[in-house]
This record gives sequence, C-alpha cells and structure tokens, in this order.
Amino acid sequence: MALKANLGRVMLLAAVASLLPGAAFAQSYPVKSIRWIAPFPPGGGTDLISRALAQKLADAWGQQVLVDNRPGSGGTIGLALAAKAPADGYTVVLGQLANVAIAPALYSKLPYDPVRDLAPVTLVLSAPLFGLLFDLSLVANTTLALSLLLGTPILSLLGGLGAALTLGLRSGAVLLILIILPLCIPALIFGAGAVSAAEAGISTRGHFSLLGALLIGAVLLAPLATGSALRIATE
Amino acid sequence: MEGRLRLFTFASPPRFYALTGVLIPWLWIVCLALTAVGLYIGFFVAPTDATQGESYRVIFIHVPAAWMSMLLYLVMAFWAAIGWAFNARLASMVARAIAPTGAMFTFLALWTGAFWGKPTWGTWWVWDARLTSELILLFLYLGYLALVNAIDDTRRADQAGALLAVVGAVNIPIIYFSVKWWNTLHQGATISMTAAPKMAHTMLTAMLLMTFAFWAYAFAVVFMRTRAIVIEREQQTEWVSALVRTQGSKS
Repeated sequence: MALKANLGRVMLLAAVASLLPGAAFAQSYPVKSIRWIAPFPPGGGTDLISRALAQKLADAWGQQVLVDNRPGSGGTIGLALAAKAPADGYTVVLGQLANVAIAPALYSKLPYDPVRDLAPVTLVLSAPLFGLLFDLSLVANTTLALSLLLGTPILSLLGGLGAALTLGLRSGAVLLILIILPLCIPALIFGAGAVSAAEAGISTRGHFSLLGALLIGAVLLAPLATGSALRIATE
Repeated sequence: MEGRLRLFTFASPPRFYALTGVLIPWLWIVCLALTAVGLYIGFFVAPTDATQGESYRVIFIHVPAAWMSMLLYLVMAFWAAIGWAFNARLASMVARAIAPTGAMFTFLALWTGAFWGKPTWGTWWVWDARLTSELILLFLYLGYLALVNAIDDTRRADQAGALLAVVGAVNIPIIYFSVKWWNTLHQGATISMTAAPKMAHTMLTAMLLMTFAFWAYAFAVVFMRTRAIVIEREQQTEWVSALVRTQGSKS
C-alpha cells in the first residue's frame, strides 16, 4: 500500500495561500518554528517523507520544523487545517495529487479550495524514480532504459496506426485505447521480460532480440498499415 | 454455366442465403446431438482424473472453447482480408458475423478456466502468460467490434476492421505458444497431432465430440448472423424484395 501511495503521489508542498510580500521577512525567514502538517497517520509514506524532510529543513534553517500528523478523510482534514491557518508561511502541508485534484470532484463540501486557499511550493517526489522505488539493481535499471529505448518506437508506431483507424470517429479516444492496448502487449511483455531477466541474473539477449524483431517489423509494416488506414478513413 | 458449381458460386449473397437456409437446421441438429453425446461421455463415462478429481471435467468445454476462440479469430481475419483485398461483399459480412461468436468463445474459455482454476490452483485468476494472452484476445475481439460499429459507413467499417483484424492476428501465435515460451502455470498441450494421446481414450473422445459440436454451433450461428447482415445490407435489391414477398405470403 505504501508503495502504491508513493507511486501515485505527486508530493505537493503547499504553503498556505498568499504569503506576505517576500521583503517583509526575506532576511530572517523563518523567525519561529514551522508547523508541518502530514495529513496521514504516523508510519505511512507521507509521514516518513515529512519527517525526513523536516529534519533536513530544520538543520538548514536553524528553526524547529514540527511534524503534525492530522489523518482522516483521505487527507482532506489536514489540508483543511492548513487552509484555515494564518497565511504567514509558517504552516506547511505535504499533500497528494488526490487532495488537490480528485477531492474537489469527490466531496460535495470540501472545506478548502485547492486553487484559492493553498499556494503550491514544490514537487517532492515524481515519476523518474519508479525503477528505484521497485528496488531495481543498476543492471536492471540500465536494461529498463534500453528496453524502453527499443520498445517506445514500437508503441508510438502502433499508436499512429490506432489514431489513423479512429480518425474522426465518435468517442475515438476510448476506441483508440481499446484497439491499441492489446496490440502493445507483446512489446510490453518482452520489455518487462528483459528487466526481470536482468534482475534474475540471466541473459537478456533473447528478450532484446525479440524486441528488436518487433521494432523492425513495426518500422517496416506500421507506416504502410497507417497509410492504408488513412486512405480508408479519408476515402 | 447452368447448374455448374464454381469457386465463387456461393460468394453471391442470394445463393449464400439459399444454401445456408438449408444448412442451418442440419448444423443445429449436429451440434445438439454431438453436445449431448459428448457431455454424456465426458460427465458419465470418462474416468475420474487421478490427481484433479472431478474438476478436470471442465476441459470438455474449456479446451474446445479455447481452440475455437483462436481459430475463429484467424478465420475472421482471413475473411476480412479477402473482403478488403478483393472487395468481396460477402466475405466482409462473414467476418463481421464471426466476431461476436469468437468473443463469446474467448469469454467462455476464460470463464470455465476460472472455474477450474479455483479448486485446482486455488485462485480464479493469475497473470499467467496464457491467461493474459487469452484476455488480450478478448480485447482484440472487442476492439474489432467497437471499431466496426463506431463507423457508420459500411465500406469504411469493413476495411478498417479488416486492417485491425490482420494486425491483431500477429497475437495468435503468441497466445498459442505462450505456454511453451514462458513455461508458466498453465500446462502445455496434452494432445498432439504427432504423438499418441496422453489421456484416457474416453476423455479424448468426449473432447473431440465437443470440439465438433462447437464447430457446428459456430457455423450455425455465424450463418444465421451473416444472413441477417445480408438482408440488412441488400435490402434495396430485387432478390430481397422477392424474398420478402414470398416469406410474407407464407406467414
């Protein structure tokens, strides 16, 4: 669960809205301890990241950064607390994508407005760390990069075919997904297979050969198929 | 010309319509008879499996359904390609008529597999190579159906569907060989054309009878569906009007 939460999370450090004009405390910020709201219970991913960051910030600023766990309602209780706090830059909340992007659609009475009440500070965690999150070794991570290098053009070529087939259709986007998803599977299987082979310490050559064969096939045939599809669509 | 059969005799929709009208009742009879005998042998005559107990009996439906699911996709892609390449109207109609039946057999194979997997593997579903690729096959059918139904222009729908079906056919060998290539949970084929059967003869008989029953069913249903498509697409023609007059006077 913690892993899943980490993957989906775009850590959003949101200082409470409309900070006072910077000049007022630019020289001396922070002059007092900072309250850091972690809207999830102790021991979870948000809490661990909060505590690690709070420690470093406290060292850098020479002021205490107090982590305050305020769990409940999928994090919205903590976010609401931060939104109501004085907008002086001394209350920070570590939120998730869900708190600012999904919650407004999910709750009929959300006690904060993500756009008006919160000021985003920075992204803490983001996608490029996927491989490290899965604890892939250096070899496996390199294999991942190489298989992406070979596999991505295949997916792009198939995507082009799908786009040509669904050109100008009603709900073409949904159709595109349904059509392209099964066609992408072989490339995904061999790409993922190469990474797990590298992780297991066995040869990845077979997977790379098949991936390369798929790429050659796709480069040779996909443009022709896409051309045919465009001709069919525009006839 | 009169009375002589040529290769393309039944590529003509009226002749196809007349022929299948005669064949369909027989196909249903064959299908029901084979199903009755096949299920009887499968459920009452075939011995209990030494390791799997009674649960193995689902293979009498599962294996033929899985075969049909892959075969029908290739047949569909073949007729769709013929229809596209030679502008053969009936071939495109047959391709469209096959897709729902193929999707049904794919679903049946997955569903019965889940029923068998629960008591035998202890799980309804695993992300095993063959199971996953069979699921992908279902999505291929659904993608084909969604695409041809989303396009209003018949000609464009047939051609786009043919292109997609042919591209998707690349996946069939992957599904078929997935068990060999990845050596995963789903066992390899027990039956082979080149070796003596490794199962009791009654089991094999029941499975083959069920396979032929499914063939008969597939032919019957595909013909019925094709007839409906033929009537719909050819409703402006003389022969359909004549047909409606004679049918109408009968009822």
